[in-house]
Amino acid sequence: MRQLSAHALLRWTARTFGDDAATLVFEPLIADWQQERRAACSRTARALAWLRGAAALLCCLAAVGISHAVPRAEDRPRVGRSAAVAFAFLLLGTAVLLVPFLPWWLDRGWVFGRLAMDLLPTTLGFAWPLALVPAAVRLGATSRDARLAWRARAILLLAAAGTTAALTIVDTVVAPVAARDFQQRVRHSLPTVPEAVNAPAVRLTALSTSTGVVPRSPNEQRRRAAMSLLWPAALLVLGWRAGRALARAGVVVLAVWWLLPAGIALTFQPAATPFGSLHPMQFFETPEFSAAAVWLAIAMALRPRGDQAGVRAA
Amino acid sequence: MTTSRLPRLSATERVILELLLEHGELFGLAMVEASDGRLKRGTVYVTLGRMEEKGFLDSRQEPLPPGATGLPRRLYTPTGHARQVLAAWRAAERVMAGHLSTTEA
Repeated sequence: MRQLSAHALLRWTARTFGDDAATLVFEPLIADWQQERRAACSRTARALAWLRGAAALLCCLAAVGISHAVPRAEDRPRVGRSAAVAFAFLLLGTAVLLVPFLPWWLDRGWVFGRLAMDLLPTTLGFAWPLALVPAAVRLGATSRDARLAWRARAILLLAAAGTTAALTIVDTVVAPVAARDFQQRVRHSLPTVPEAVNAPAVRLTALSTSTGVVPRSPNEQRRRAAMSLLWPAALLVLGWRAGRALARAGVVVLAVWWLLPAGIALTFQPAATPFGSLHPMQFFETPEFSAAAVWLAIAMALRPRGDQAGVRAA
Repeated sequence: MTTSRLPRLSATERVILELLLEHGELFGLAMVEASDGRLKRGTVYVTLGRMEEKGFLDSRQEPLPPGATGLPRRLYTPTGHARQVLAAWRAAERVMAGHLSTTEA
């Protein structure tokens, strides 16, 4: 192993797991690894030494990673408060997204109210990644501990993987089926009796997104997908910077920033196209948006701070 | 004194301490080679780091010869505390073994 890559590896472990882990665990491992390779007398022996060292390094990374992912007693309050922030913003986001349907509900009776309630899974799926961002900002702004940052990143990773998987299933399996059903129902007028509203196909329709509802050309699909990945990315980066700069106040600013356009965008949709409002998330391309927001939140929000990056001189 | 306050010594930690008491100063890879398969290279460094945090081991970096490159190896020695803990556990084992043999007889 070259000297440069050994130091780079040590710096990375210090950034990721903290100075103590780098000094006590990874530095001796790498030093022994280097000496073993140097002592090997043939090319085959050197290759074997490299492989054994690499395997040991992977085992150590897994062991230290797992031990860092388990919350310690003193970290639990901070992790708990961040989880509370995420939950609060999840509820707030869901409420804001459902508010535009309230007049409809009051106006047209419980049938349309029921349809609005069927939107709950979609709105939850939309609000969850948004809620992760303020929580990540809060953790990033208050945490100066690389161990905690790593642990929180692991928790967020798990949440993000679950959310993205669920949204991908909705987009690729549920949406196309529901879209066909929706188009047929629109052609033959919407259901007006409770039995029809309770049919599973209608509930699936509420879960669906616009990608299958409005027929588009492949080029247009790709363009919309690219745009839906780009603009949240830019907003998220800017929002994250603002959140880091403003610390706790930044959480509120960021939340308002995210929820305001969502509320405005959804408010005019029911009034503009009553039937189309069954799919209000079409404006946002929910799955792509959520995936982009979540993964960017992970990448940006919990990067260990610069003052954690030092490695003791070897 | 409650049980939770007793210094714990895992099987791997005990193997490491016994090796160090037998051979003196060792570095991680040498311990793995001397342990006849009882220590694994993928976990020994994590255990050594934990033992150092617990105050069971002291370590120093091996001085590099002039002109040598690379990171210096870390050599480990057991602390007095570790020797006392190991002795206490050995004594406890002897007492327990004696008690069990008396009970079974």
